[in-house]
Amino acid sequence: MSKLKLALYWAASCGGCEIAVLDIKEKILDVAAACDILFWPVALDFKYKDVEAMPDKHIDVCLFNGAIRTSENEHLAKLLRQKSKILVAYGSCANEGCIPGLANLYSRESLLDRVYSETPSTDNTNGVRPQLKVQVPEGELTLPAFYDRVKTLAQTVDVDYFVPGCPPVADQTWAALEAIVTGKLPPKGSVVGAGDKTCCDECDRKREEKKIKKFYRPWEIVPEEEKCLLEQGIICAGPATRSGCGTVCVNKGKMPCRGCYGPPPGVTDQGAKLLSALGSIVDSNDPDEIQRVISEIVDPAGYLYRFGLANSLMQHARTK
Amino acid sequence: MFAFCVTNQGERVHVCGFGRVPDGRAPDASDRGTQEIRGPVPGRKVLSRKECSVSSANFEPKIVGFLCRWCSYTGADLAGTSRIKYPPNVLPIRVMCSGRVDPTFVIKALVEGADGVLIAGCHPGDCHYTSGNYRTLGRFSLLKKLLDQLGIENDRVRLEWVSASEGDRWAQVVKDMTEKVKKLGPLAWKTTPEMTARQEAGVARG
Repeated sequence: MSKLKLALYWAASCGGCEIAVLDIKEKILDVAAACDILFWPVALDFKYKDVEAMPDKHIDVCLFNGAIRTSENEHLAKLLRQKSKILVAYGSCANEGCIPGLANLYSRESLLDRVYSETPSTDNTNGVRPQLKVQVPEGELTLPAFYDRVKTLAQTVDVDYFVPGCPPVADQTWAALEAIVTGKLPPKGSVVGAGDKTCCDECDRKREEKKIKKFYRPWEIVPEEEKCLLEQGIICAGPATRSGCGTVCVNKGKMPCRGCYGPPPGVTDQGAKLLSALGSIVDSNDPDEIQRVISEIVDPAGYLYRFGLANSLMQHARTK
Repeated sequence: MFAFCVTNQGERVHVCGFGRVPDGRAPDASDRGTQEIRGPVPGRKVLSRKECSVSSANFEPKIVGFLCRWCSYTGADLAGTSRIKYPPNVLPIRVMCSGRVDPTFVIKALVEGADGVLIAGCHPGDCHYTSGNYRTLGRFSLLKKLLDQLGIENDRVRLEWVSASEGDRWAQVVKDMTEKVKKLGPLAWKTTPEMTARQEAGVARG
């Protein structure tokens, strides 16, 4: 039986999803036994032209991680879509923009100004900015274009399956790979490697009634081990986040969930749902007190849309 | 009834709000709020809501209103039966309680062509469901902070308490908000149908 032809690619990402694939540990040998990896820039020495030379749909499965920030990211997304039978959006960046997506809070100009002029340790008195082309004695050098907005993979090309997580946990990565290798896949367009409830459903902590007098930052109090973090005033995105991660952050790491598995089934905009949850738990009948408690939440945009801004209803802030 | 615009051979005539025009006659500014366009108007091109809102000189804001069934909607109704004249720019949507208003509704309205959103509920202490409006207030406060970070001006999204007997107050609130949003101009959220389709493809998965 011929081996499954597998490709992996990273667009605008941190590289964590590449590590996540390796996090399946010795099972990577099973993957290597069952698959021929045709393209994996972080690990293997294939070039873009090797992919361009392949016939269409030559690759059986492509695990694509990273968001679409530059023209190079877009080119590879389109190329790999063309050359792959199954294209999987692997990890939060490809699914919903993730951290790179937070750049959508700013305009392209302000991003470039910040990076190339304003940061405290930058000395760029001539206001040098990267250019798309430059001539050097050896020839012409090019850089990819930096787009106005970060887009998700599904906003760029047609995607077959979605594996959420920042990064997807090892068990779920293995489950997704196993489903692919054995061909036991759900209908096209499904989320694979995740549950169909919210994180609260999997969480070990005790939940009673959500009513709080104050929101606390995680460092401000030492939370009780058994009790729901949100009920203690620590903002946890669990109620608005898809299950499947094994609640490693809350139950093992003792830190609140930040929402990296994206919205639960049926939810269009994760940030708006989390906003709704947080806004409704203040224990008061005094309008002034309610407003005061809510005003203690700093940076709602960054907290509510930490992972999903690019895939939210707004997708980006309204900038000039 | 929907708000929409009709062009008359290239010249844009706004018949926004709840407009009606008998077949064949060109609508003009005096028709606003009086008559209904039945079917396609011969020789006229009907613009989408988004196209309408982007015209400059006679900008009429489109404001989506979420009114609670017990107090606010009744109060707005009282304004109607009292024949109080006020701008027709708010499109009222009745909900059982202002606490039903999911922040998603507000954001979706803005993204899909509204220039402003008005949420109206019972006064604190008078909620028909006891505490629904406290939820509204908590959500609204956080939503305002978020919208500020996302570049939506303060006057575009508003929460008001309007009781069933406050027909006058409803009219005043709508008048005030319409003026403020008019000054701000169209929101003109830059989403093309193409982007909306891709967005929906991205989130439609289950």
